[in-house]
Amino acid sequence: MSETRYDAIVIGAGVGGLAAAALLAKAGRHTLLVERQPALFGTLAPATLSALDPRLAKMLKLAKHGFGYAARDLPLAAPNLLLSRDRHATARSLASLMPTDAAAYTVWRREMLSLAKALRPAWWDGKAVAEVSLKPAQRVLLDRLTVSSAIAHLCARFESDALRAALAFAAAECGAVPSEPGSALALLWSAAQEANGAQGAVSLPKGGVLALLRALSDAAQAAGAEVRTATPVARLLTSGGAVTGVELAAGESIETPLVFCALGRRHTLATLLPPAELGLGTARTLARPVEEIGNAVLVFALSAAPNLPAPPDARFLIAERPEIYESAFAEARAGRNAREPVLELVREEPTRLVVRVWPVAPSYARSDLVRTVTLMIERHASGFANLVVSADLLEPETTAPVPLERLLASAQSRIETPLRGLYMVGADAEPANALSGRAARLAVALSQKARPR
Amino acid sequence: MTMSIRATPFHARAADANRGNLWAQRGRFTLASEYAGVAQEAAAARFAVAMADISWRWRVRLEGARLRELTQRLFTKDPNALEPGQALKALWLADQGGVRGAGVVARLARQSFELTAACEDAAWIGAAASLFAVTLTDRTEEEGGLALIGPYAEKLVATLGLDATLAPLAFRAVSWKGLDVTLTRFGEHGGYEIWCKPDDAPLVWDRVAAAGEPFALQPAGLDAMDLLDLEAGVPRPGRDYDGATAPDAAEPLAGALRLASLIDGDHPFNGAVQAHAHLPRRKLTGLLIDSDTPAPFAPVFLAGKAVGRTLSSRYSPFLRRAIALVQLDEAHAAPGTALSLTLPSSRGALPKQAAARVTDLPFIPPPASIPA
Repeated sequence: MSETRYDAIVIGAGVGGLAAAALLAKAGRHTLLVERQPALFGTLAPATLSALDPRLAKMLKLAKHGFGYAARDLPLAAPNLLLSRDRHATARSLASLMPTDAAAYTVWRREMLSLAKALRPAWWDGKAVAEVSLKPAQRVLLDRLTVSSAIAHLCARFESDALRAALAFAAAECGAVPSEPGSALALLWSAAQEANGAQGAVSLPKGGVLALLRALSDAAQAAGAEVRTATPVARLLTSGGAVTGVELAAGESIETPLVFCALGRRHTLATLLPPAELGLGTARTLARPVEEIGNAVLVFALSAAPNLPAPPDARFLIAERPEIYESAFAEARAGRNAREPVLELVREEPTRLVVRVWPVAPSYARSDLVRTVTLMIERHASGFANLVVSADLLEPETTAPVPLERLLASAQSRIETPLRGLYMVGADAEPANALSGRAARLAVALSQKARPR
Repeated sequence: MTMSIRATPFHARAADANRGNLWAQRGRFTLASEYAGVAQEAAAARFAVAMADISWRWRVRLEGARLRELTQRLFTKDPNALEPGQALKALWLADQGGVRGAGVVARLARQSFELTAACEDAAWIGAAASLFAVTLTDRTEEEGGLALIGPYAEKLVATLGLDATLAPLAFRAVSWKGLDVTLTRFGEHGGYEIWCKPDDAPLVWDRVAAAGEPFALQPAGLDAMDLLDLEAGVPRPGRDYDGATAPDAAEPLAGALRLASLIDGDHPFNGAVQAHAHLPRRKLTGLLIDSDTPAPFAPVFLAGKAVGRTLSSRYSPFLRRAIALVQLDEAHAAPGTALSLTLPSSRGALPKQAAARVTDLPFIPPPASIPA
C-alpha cells in the first residue's frame, strides 16, 4: 500500500463519476477521481440533456461553474409532425395528421405528466415504485404501463403511425426496447424528468453535454477533489466483505474505505473483484452472457446549414413507423447494423449536426453506419451529403437493454453492492440510461448514512 | 420418455443376478433395485458381506494451476492439507449457505483432485472451476465401481489378493492380477470400493463373486443400499433432500441435515454466512413408526400441531417396523418424544394415523468389521 490514503475514490469521469467526486469533496472528504482515458473528457458528446438531476445542479451550483441552457425545451419534429410546448401549434400539427389524435394527445400527455410527477419520490429520492402512494386511477395506469410495451401502449392511444413512432422514441432514448413489455414504463420515467423547471423537456445546454462535464469537473476540483487521468484501475482490494482500496493498473495500491464506480455494475463486479468474491452463485450469474445494444453519436460538420423539414431549434426524428423499432432492434441484437436505424438530429450550431443513432450492436460496422445515416438524412434533406465536411463518431457504449426491474427497484438496490463501501454511480445505477447524476447524489447520501463522519 | 437402459459396466452380470428383473434409475444409469429381496440383501450387508454396483456415482476430476484457490472456495473443508491418497467428505454450498451437494474429495496428486458425489452438479462446479482456470473432466463413465459392505468385507478384500490395510477415506491404485484397479474406502458403511476400467468390470464381478462365496456374499440392489443409508442415518441429496438450485439459496441448511460436521469454519468457502438466525432451527433425527407402512415426506404432529416432516422412509426388516429420517423443530426432537403422522393410503382406503417415536441416529450401529 502506498502512503496516500483517501476518504473516497471515484472510478470513471462520466456525469456520474464527476458528480460523485464533486459531492464528496464538497462534503469534506479527501477524494480522488481516476479516469482511464488520457483526457478527462473527449471532444464528442451528445447534444441534449433530458434527465439531469435538478437537485444535483443546485447542490453543486453548476450555474456558477459555467453551466447554462441554450434552449430549455426543444420541440420534437418528425416529417409532417411537430410536438412542442406550444399546445396550439401541436394541436394544429396533429389535426392535419389525424384529427382524433390531437385530442387524445392532450389527454395522454396530461395523464402521463401527472402520474410521472407522482412517481418522483421513487425516481428522484430512491424509493421503490411500489412504495409510492398513488391515487387509484393512477395506480391502474401505472399497472397497465408496467405490463405493456411502449409501442403497444401508444398504438392503443393514438391512430397515427408518425405520432406513435415519435413518442416511442422517449423509451428508446433511455435504453429500453420500445417493443418489449415494460418499456411503456420508460416513457413514464422520461416524463418524470425536467430541465430547467420544465417537466418532460429535452434541453440543449450551452456548449452541449461537454459543457456539463466541464462544469462538474470544475465543481469537483474547486471543492478539492484530486483528479488523475490515464489511470486505469486493475482491481478493487477487499477484506471481510468490505472494500479497502484500489489497485491501479500501474501497480500502485491506494487505501480507501469508499469506492464510487461509474463503470457498469456487471463489469465492476465480474472483473474488478477477485474471482467469486461475492459468491460462486453471483459469479455464475454475472458470467452469463447478456446481449448488449447501445446508441452511437455521429457529429457532422457541415459547410452550410442543412435543409431539414423542421424548425431549426427542433430535434428532428427519423422513425416513420413504430415497426421500425422492432426490426432495427432485432437486427442490432443479431449483431448487424440496422438497415434503417432510428435517428435523432439536433443542430447544436447551424453547421454542426449531432445525430444519435439507435440501436447499435457492439460489433457494428463503422463505415456502413456513417453511410447509412448520411443516406437516411439525405432522403429528408436533399443535398445533405454534399454539405458534409467531416463525420466524427463517438464510440458507442453498449449496455443490456433496461430491464423493467431496474425501473421499479429502489435506488438502494441499484446503487449498493454486496460489498460494503462499494457504490455504483454509472449509467446502470440509474432507473434508465440517461445523463443524470442522480445515482451519484443518492449514492453519496447512502454512503454518508452508512459511514457518518 | 423413452424407456431405454443406460447400462453400467456391470450390467451384464447384474442382469444375470437380478432374479425379479427389477430395475431402477439412479444418476444416469439403470441399476438393479433388488436381486434377491431387500431383507436378504440387507442382512448380508449386516452379518456377512454384500456387493453393490456404485458406478452411478458422479465423478469429476479437477485439474489446474489455481486448484488450491478453487477447492478452498468451493468446498466446506479444505482438501489442500491432504496428502495424495487421502480424501475427505465435504459439502458445497450456495451463496447464502444452502447445501447444493455433498461428496468425497480425493487428492490424486499435487494438482489433481477427484470429487465423487451422489448427485451431479456440473453447472455449478464447472462455472466455479472456470473462474479459477481449472478444468473439470467428467469421469463417471470411465470406470465401474463395486462396493463391498459388511463385517466380512475386509476378509473378502484380503482373500481377493488385495492389501486390505487401508484407512477410511484413503485410496490406493493397485495392479491386481493383471488389472489396474483403485481400492477406496469412501463409503458411509465402512466397506471398500473397487474401481476398474469398464472393460474389466465383468471380470472384477466374477472374481469378487467367486471369492465371496465362502462369506455368503450377496449382490445388493439400490433398495437395500437405501435401507442401509436410512438405518445409518445418512441423508442423501436427490433422495432425502433437494440440493439448493438457486445461486443464492439459504436452504437446505447443513445443520438441519446432520451434516454440520462436514463444515470447517476456518477457511473462506462459498456460503460461509452467519445469516441463518431467522430460519427455524430444525434437527435431523430418526423416527420409529408404529406401522409396517413407510411414510416418506409426511408431516409429523405433536398434539395436532405440525412439528416437522419425514424424509425418506422404509420398512426395516431388523427393527420390524417402518422407520424414517425426520426433520423436527429442535424443541421436539428429544429421543422418546411421542408424535403421530398420517400413513399414505392406497387404492381409495381412508388414510390412517400412526403413532411414532423419536429416536437417535443411527437406528442401528454399524457392525464391527472382522479383521482379515
